[in-house]
Amino acid sequence: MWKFYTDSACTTEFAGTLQLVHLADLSDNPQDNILYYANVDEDPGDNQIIQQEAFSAPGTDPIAISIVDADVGNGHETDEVTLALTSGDLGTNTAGGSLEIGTTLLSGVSQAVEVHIRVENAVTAPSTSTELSLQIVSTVDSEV
Amino acid sequence: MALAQPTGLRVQALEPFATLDQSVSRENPAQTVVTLEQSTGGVRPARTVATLEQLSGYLRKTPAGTVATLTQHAGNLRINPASTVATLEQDVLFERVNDPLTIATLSQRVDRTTAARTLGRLRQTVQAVAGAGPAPAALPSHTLVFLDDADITDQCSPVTEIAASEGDNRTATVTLYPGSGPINITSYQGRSLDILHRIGGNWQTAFNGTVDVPTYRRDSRTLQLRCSDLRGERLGREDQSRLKTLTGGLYSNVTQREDAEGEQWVRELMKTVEGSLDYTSAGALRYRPWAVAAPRFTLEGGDIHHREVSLEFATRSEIINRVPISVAFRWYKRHTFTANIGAGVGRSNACKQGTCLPDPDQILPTKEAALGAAYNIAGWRVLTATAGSPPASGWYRYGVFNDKVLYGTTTAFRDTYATAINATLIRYVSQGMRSTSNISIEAPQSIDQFGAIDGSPLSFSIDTQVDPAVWEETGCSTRAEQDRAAERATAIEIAERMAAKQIRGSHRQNYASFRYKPRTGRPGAGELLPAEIGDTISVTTDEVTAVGWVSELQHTTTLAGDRYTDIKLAISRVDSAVSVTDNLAVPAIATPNTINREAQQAEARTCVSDVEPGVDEPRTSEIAKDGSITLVAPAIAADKTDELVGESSHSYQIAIPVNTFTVEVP
Repeated sequence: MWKFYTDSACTTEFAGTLQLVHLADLSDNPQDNILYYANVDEDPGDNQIIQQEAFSAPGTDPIAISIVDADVGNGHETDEVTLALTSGDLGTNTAGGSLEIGTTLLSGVSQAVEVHIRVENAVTAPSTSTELSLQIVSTVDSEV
Repeated sequence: MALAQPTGLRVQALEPFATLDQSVSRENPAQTVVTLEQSTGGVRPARTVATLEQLSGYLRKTPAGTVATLTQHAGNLRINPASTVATLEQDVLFERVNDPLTIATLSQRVDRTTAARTLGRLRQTVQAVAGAGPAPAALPSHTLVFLDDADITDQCSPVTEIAASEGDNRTATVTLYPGSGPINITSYQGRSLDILHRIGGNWQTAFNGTVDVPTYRRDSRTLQLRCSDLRGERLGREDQSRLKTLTGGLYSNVTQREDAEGEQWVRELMKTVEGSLDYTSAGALRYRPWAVAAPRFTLEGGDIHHREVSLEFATRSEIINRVPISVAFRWYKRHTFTANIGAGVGRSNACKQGTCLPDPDQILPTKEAALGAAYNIAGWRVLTATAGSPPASGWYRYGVFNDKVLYGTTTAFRDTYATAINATLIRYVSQGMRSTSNISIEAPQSIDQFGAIDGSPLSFSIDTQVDPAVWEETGCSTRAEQDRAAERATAIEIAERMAAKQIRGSHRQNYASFRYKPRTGRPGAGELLPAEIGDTISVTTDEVTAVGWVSELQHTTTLAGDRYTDIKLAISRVDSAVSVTDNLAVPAIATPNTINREAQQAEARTCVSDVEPGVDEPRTSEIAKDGSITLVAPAIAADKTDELVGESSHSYQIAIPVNTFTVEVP
């Protein structure tokens, strides 16, 4: 299955929660993280035997990862988060915008897609929030 | 006495005395040239049955003469010019023969669709800083505790413990200071709890689990939350194929607990894997093989608390270096036997052209009875059966010189009665076969050091799922004879893996335990070591140098603000100069060739029809004078019917990894 990993070798699966601790004075902004989107479970030999495409128009539409705010207008907002395929793009991509990670993705560790996540906290009140999440569009997997 | 020499001898020449004229002539008188004698067993004496006579003949000379005269007459000739005598009209009708062919192929592909989904969430905690709001009261800012995603750090004691060990649940203990007023203690059960530690400037999840046991302490008026990552329960819910892929483990009903499910299935699977399946601090599933890898952490004396180093070595009684395996494999070999049998009535010597009449006192059986006898041979099936008819009407002669006798019969009689029965029989036999592979998995290095120490034998049996009666009754089969050969190969591979795990596991019960607590000023001082089960750590102190596999760890924070991680490294050791290369293999099926005397013997192999129980079995087929028929099928050898057994013995070697573990007396 396709999922996030925390290391480039895709040996440690992302547990599902990206923990971020910010200082209320915003002095620790920004915080950068990298996750790796890949399918290694079904392709341990790294032979690119499975491909993933967007369900809306396979092979045409890009697969997009978007930032979703469960409580728009309160707490953290999506524009605190910038997604990019490279660290260099973090400075130029639009904050809060979705990230297109490709039209056709291939399985295997060598085809893992880096997803760089930059978080610039804008909340100054001490709090804990899980309102932001990363969501991927509907996809279709097929054999290559 | 001496003889006197003769004297006066005269030499006389030889002269013709008389001339003989001789001529030889042969006269061939008429004579008997061949005498044929016929012997008929003494009844009639030898006698002349024919005489060949030679007669002198004469030649008649016929002079040349006209034997025929050809007379030619000239007649009227009519010459017909060449002309068309017929016109063939051929119409070619359109006809095209099309062979069967595929006119369309349906290409069907099943893709997997996944609805839009959340890949991950961000849990953002904003901490107050001095001057910017109320500072966290009870806890130093190195630790955060979340209960159902709510930050409860300021309600918790700084004392926390997180413990993990190979193949076991990761546990955590947090002490909560509940406010005054009613408290629903049981409501804490099952709630998610996360503990984060700041390590190297980053917040890292040290525990992700669920409150298992909440305990209220009246003396301190605190609520202690004992939590678990529910490893076993969660593993039981994981997709089995994913776990197989992740670990490379094998499962078979033959070698492991039959029909195991959930957590039990995972335990069975892990018997075949030299490694550990655990959830990380953050709650992600992770598999780590026992093999020591490149160290994730390299620690030195300054990183280790000098009084918290202990060494533990495996005792000889814990060592296993040889495990016997026995895998029995049973199947049925299919035999097909055919036989031609027959019997006939006694014959008289009244014959005609080779066909003889039955003995006068012979009672003929009916054809129905004759055929029934063939069809009633137990265990055999009739392919063909023919009942011979009595001779046809005609003149039969009792010998050459006796007068012919007229034998009369009817078609109905000939159709009803039989003088012989001939049948081709077939029999299907399922012969039990048992092949036992005796395998010894050995660690020569360890045997060299400790001598042979046997572990518990592993014994498995794989029986065919073929019903032998189906073949014997119908001659049909739908499965291969050795229908479970592939399962046998898997079972042996699993058994060998189990044995290898037992052996290697017993050699890694050497432990180096230490406390990670860097001195002030060193990197990591005041922080925990973010190690995981299965990480490789290298430790070098003045006394101990070790490279091992993290089998246990415990993160502790104290009331005094101490933070440290206790680590227990498992280290594989054997001291031997023997060089070993793993050569595990699945041996071939040994051919059974010995009758199993302990097994129940097959029933009598001579099948006789028309014989009542208790009557001695006749040895040959016959039609008795009274018309009773006995047909005897041939015997089938015991080595084609009784169970055959065979054995083979094999020895395979495995190497014991040798990890660094030295102690130097200062």
